[in-house]
Amino acid sequence: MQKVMSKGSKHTNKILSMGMQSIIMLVFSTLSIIVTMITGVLLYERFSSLSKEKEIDTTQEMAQQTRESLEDYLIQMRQISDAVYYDVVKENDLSLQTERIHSGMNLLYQSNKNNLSNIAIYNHSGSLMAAEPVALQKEDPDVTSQDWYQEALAQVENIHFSTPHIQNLFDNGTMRYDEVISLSRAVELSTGGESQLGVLLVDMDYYQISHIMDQLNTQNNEKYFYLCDSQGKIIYHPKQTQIARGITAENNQAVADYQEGSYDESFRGEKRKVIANDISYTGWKLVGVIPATTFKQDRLQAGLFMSLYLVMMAMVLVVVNRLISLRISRPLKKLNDSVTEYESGKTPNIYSGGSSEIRHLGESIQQSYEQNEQLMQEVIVEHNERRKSELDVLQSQINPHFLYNTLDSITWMIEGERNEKAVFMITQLAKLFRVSLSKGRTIISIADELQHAKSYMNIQKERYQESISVEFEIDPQIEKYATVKLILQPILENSLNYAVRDVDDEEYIRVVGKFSDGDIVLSVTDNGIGMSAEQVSSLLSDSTKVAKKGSGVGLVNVNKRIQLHFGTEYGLTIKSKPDEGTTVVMRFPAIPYSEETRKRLEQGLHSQGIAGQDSGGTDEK
Amino acid sequence: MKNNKIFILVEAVLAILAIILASVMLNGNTNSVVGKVAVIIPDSDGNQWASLRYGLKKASKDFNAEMFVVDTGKTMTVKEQQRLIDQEIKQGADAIILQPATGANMEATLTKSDHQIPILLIGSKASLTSKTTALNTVEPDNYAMGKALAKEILNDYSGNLAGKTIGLVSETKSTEAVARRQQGFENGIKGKGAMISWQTSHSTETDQNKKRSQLTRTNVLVALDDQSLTILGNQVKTNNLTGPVVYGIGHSTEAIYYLDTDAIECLIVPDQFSVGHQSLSQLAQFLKHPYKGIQAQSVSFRVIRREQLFSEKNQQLLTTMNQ
Repeated sequence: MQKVMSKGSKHTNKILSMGMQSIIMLVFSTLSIIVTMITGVLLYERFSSLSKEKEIDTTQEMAQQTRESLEDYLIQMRQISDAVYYDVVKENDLSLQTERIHSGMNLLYQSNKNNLSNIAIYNHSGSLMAAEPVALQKEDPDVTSQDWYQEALAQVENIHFSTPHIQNLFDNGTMRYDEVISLSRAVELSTGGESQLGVLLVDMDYYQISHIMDQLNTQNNEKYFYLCDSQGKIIYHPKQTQIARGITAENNQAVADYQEGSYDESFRGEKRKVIANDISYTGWKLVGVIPATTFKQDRLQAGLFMSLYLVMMAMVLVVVNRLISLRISRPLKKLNDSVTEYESGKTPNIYSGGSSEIRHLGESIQQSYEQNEQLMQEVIVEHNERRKSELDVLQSQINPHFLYNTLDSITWMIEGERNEKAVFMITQLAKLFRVSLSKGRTIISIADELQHAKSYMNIQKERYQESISVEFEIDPQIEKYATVKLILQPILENSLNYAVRDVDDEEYIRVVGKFSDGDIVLSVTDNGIGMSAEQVSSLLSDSTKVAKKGSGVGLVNVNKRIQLHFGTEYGLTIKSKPDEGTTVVMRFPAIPYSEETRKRLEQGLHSQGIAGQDSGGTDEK
Repeated sequence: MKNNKIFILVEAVLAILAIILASVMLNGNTNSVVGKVAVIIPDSDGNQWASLRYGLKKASKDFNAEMFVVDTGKTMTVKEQQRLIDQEIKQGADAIILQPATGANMEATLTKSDHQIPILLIGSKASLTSKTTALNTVEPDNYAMGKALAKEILNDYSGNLAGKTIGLVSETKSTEAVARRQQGFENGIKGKGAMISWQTSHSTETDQNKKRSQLTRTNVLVALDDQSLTILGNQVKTNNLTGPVVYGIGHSTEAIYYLDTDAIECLIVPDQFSVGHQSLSQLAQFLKHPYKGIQAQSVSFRVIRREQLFSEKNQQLLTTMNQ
């Protein structure tokens, strides 16, 4: 049970996991085929039923037409018999007016000889009185023992039709033995004024009847018609000889009891429809037999036709369903694909097509994604702004201290009437502030940064009475590249304030600028007291706890600003040994300075590739 | 892509199904014929074959076979028969029904032809001497017919033929059927005192000359085939032959007529309708179901005298002869 359920759910899952187009097509196709099949079965049943009814109607109609033909023929024969009797025999004396009788009979025979075999008159003892055509009567035919003769005299008021038999009365010299149907009646013969009973025989050519029946049986199917008398004795049957020889059989004895109409019967294990028609005046029956196999053949044909119809319909429906399912599912699939593309990181370009509902859905998703993007950008910009403002605050923290010391030095110079020095100091200070302000820019060229560092060091050298040796080793090529503003000055300030001042030897600071592995490296080296490894490692950790001789705030500030603009893979590295000195190395990407690159770097777009695109200058090296 | 493949596959399967159904439907409308059967008999338009032709025609309709009787002359040699067989095979006959011509190498010739299409013999076997044959035959029991004829003569002569001379007449002496009839007849009258004074056939001039001089000197004339019987009947009828009483085996309306007009005393009539019907039905069934094979068949015959000529049974026989 569990197995079955799990199998069922597996199928359900399999169906659910199919694509929308497949599901639509499967459902549409299944429904269409079910509807078509039901229609087909109903049509098949109706068609079969109509076909059967039509077959029976056709058979009845054919039987009716043939019955009329047979009756016409038989009436014609009766009329001949009547004419012979009433116009010839009854009007003349057989012994006295022989010539007139022969002439009358001959006239009737000649005008109907295509349908007649012969006309003969026998007296009550069976002797031939007259015959047409005039032919040799066979020796001792013994007509009195023949059925037609006996029946005529047994029922004198009736005209009797025999079953087919060989004409055995006359020798016409053809050596043929034609079959005839004898029409016999009792007649009153006048011989020498005396009246006696005789028999008038009109032998009809059986060929005429068999020909009519043969024409009825020319259909190339199993349906057939036969003719029997009131006792069921076969008059005509398409397989008459085979029946006589026992090769096949017919249910003619049962048919003798049938009234006019149609009957269902089973004969020798075969079901069949039998249609019986009475032939007037004779008691004969015209029987149409439709074996069940005839209907089966019709049903088979109808079944084949319906099957073909179903298959053709299925072919068309599969095509139509496919088109419909494609029409419905294609816009949804495109929408899904565009959403998947967006999810994989591509630019949002959500599909908007198909029906109005799908178009609306696509547009809504597109708008939603665009709004999301905008919000994300806003968040990033806001975040950058916030960090920038924090750093600006930090940056602004160092300026008042330096400005106080410098202005103090200038005051002393003016008081000590060292005016030229004071002018120099003020000039340098002005240059320093020009770069510091830089119209509020945070990205400047390295040339400006070096100018700022030099101005700063010139001011400091004046303050420290030129006891400090400052050396700039700068690759001129790097000056046209971009850098974050005021990154050298805090390092130099640190070297001056916390490293170099305690050294007894001649103090020197060396600033080096160069390309290194495609990046730009600016380093500040001093011969100060140096630091322990512990101190070095804590310098950039944004902590003030170990800074006894220096807060290290400047280094942290510089490092963060470089990383903020260029990425975390750039920034400061510090190499220092106690009593030997310190080297602070700044590394950042080589990005040629231009107004455009400045703006993009200031907007924090370095990570979007601007640096890479614009770093062609480094490749030249 | 997978959907496309399934779609194309489904459409292809449906298209194939539609083609199959359409072809079955179209073929189902035509009632397919089981095959073509050629019938080769000497003097094909002759009246003596009316009953046979009627049997063939009825069987062809019963078993839905196409049948045609090849036009032939009065006589047929082995060579001519072989030419006709080859001609019919070339023209697409699926089987052949054949009354074998008389000749020494007929059996061998027919056996050779039988390798290509089935051949069924009617009326007589192909070999006079061989007791077993590769070719099946549908025929009346010729020996029994000869014996029945002897029995009828004995009946007429109260079983005593002492001093009676009997002349045997046949169209040809070299057919197996005639030989068997003669054998049956001779065995039938054996020990009854009769003497078969001579035998003759129409096929040779010597025989014809002998016949004229000897016919009148016999008491009983026995015709062993239809043609001989009708010739004798005609001679009696036209008073060219008086004296001997004529008995014979025949199956034409002429033979019946001579019986009817008392020119012939007694007639043995083989059921030619059944020969035709059974031979064609055998071949038709073989063509439809080759595994069933073809069987040799024996058909009945009737002894007819003038008194019972128009009995119901005899009328049935006459009907087939009159078609």
